[in-house]
Amino acid sequence: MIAHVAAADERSGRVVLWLSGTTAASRIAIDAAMLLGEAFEAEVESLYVEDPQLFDLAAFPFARVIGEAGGAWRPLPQDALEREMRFAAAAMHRQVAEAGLAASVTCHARNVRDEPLRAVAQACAQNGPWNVVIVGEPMAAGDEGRLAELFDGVRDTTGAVITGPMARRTRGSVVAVVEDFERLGPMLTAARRLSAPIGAAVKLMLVGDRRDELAWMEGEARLICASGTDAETISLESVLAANDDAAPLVAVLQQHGPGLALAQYGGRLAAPGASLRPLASTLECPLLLVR
Amino acid sequence: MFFKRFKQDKSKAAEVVADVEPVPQAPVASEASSVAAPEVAAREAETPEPSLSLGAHMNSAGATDPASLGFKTTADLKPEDGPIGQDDAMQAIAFGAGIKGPGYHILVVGPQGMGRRTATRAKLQEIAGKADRPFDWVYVSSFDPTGGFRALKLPPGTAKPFAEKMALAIDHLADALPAAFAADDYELKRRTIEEEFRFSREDALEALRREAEAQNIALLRTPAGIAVAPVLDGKVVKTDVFNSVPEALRREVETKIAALEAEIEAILAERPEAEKDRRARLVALNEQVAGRHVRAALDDLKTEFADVAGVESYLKAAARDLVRNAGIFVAPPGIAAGQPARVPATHPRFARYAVHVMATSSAGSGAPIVYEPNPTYANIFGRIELGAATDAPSQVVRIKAGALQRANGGYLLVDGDALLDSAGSAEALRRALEAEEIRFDPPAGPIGAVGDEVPDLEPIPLSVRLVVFASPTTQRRLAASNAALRRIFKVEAVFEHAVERTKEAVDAFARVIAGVVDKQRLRPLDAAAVGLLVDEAAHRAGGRAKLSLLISDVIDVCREADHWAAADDRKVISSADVERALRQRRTRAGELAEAS
Repeated sequence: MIAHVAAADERSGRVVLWLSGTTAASRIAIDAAMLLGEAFEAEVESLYVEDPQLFDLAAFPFARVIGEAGGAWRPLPQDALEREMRFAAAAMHRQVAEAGLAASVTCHARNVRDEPLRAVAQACAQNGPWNVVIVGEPMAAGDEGRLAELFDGVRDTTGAVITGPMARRTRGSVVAVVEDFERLGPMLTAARRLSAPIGAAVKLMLVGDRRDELAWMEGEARLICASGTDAETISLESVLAANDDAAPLVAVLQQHGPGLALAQYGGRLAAPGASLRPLASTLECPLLLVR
Repeated sequence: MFFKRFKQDKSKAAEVVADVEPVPQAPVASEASSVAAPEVAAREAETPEPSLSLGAHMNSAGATDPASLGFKTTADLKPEDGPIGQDDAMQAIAFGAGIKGPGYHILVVGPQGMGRRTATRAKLQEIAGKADRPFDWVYVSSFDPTGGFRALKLPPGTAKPFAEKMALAIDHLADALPAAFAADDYELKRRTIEEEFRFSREDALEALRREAEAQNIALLRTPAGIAVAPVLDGKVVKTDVFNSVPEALRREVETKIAALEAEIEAILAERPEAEKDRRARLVALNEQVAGRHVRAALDDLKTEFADVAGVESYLKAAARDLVRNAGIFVAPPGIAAGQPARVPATHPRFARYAVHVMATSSAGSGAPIVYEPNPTYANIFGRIELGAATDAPSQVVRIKAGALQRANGGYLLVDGDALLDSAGSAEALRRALEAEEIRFDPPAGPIGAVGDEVPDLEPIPLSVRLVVFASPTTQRRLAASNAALRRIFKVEAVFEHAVERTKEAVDAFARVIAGVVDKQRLRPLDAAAVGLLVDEAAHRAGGRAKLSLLISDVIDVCREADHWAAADDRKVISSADVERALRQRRTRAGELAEAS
């Protein structure tokens, strides 16, 4: 969805909000799902996945659990786990439904017990290729493996939205980080559509490692922007990247105070296998990573 | 009644009228209504009662001789407010108002409508104008857990500038603080602290996860928290598989799991301490950023009022509170994305920084004179208004000064009947006067929200002279119903209801009428009309030798006579107009008496 839908001027797709059976969903992730739903007139599928491994764990007589805030260890029998999951799922679906009602976005809720990535992949496959997965659980600094598995394991998706533990807003400009000129058009179109529901400004952050290439990219970008109807709302910034370190790029991105950021998965900002720490420790908005 | 007194057989009047010298205003009188004119003629033709002695300006017929008054219309006279006579009363007021020392409150006794208030106020103004301006008073938050208010004494005339400058400082901070907190250097420092806190735990758990992974054990997150499980090839081992391995190996895994659980517990146990440390560091950072702006905002105020006792300590407390609560100046995120979010300075959340002016004066005003027609508790002692912000508990948004605060250092004028009708406030007023302090202790809750407690207001020292206007009946009522209150009046100024009808008194009466005409913007009265009013005043006083001083009646008659003159399109009020006004008043009074 998103970039592809935007490029093809399609009117719809599907947003799959992946709610894991472990921790609470990020409110910012839910808001991002609604923003995408609004922008692309897409429905949101709230998918709560119960990981069967947790039930395997609960089958052990020594299975114990300790709250995230500390305290004492307590037994984790299967029936208790089942009950906790049921309540957690109901609470999360209700939260999504309320957000959907406020944003006038149609939401569907579903619970599945399956290996998480397989469950998300199947949900996307059922809906066709124009999906975007919103990861409900905030990504931690060491979750680069999880993210890579998501892009590898879930094929019927055009991208994924992730949030970090510092995420706190979805209002603000929509910033598209463009590292590959070929992606400029679709990402600009996607950014424009995403900015429309909230009336936000669109900013293009062009990233390159050579000045001449960057200058050429900026010139071309200005031509493309000028041909649009709302050229006056789009601002450009060229960033010369000295190396592949994501941290300086995230810092520049953060300075724009974005409500949503777009970037290519595989670029400097989110390279496969690279630590997510720069993003997790800094980014205050959701990040849409497109393939 | 005046009109009845002159009523007689009109045929007899017609007989004598030819012998009587025509009154100067005859042509004007003839313009009056057909009913009024013959009766006026009849009155002037009446023979005086032999038993009555003649008063000043009185002709042989017992009526005032307009020609002897010495003017054509009241426009020729210098207007006066009165009082006529009343020397003793005025001396008593001057004594009570001027004497030093507490307790010399003044009871002004006399019938209503005699101009007691006007005369008293005029005399007080004369004395107050020469007195020093009293100090200003304001209430400011004490910034302590009680939520009370301190009273600050400020030099005369500085309370309003002080309040305005404080409001300006808050307004400035409403701009400066959101910008300061949105600045990059603050964000960087804040994020560094947050990151250190957040990732110290995550990093420790991540390291533990890797350590566990090497031992084929996984840390799993469940809806209930963190759990530990044996894994094989990245998957949790099924129980049947686990049970099939030798017991020694199982024991070893369980021991490893128990050790990891202990480590997890230790990492999570550090969280409250780390949280405390994080908070402390954030508070220190906020204080560092906000402190700079708060000090700058209050600097002018501090310099300007450096010599005023209490101001420095108040500003210090306010600065501490502002720094501690700098967050209230920043609106919740999402209101104006990407921009510093400004909360309007008038928002109730800033109410505790408001300076509530209780008493102030302007240059050259002297001691204040305050008349309170409705002496309820709130009107005398002031009131507190509460406002509620959706995101904060009720706050005192306004402390409104009462008459007592405004009159402090001067004179408080109250009607006796109204005061006795508000028994609660009369008693509270007496206590305040005796204690010489204004202590706010209202019988009802503050305006705003039901159930809110009245905040403590520090008592303000009170130095006021109470002046109560009472009729003789009220005076008796006061003595009977509130003897303690009656005792506080060491000075009594008694206004006589009538004065001797001397030439001076009649002349003064005419000038008072000129004053009424002037104040009420009426047409001037001709001499005959004034004469008629003099006669009416004499009649009300019970004889020709005295003049009644019920000025309110004179005002009403003049106003009504002016109406009739206007109806006939005349520029001067004639005796016919006065006559008509008097007659109609009597008719109305008669109808009212019959109806009752």
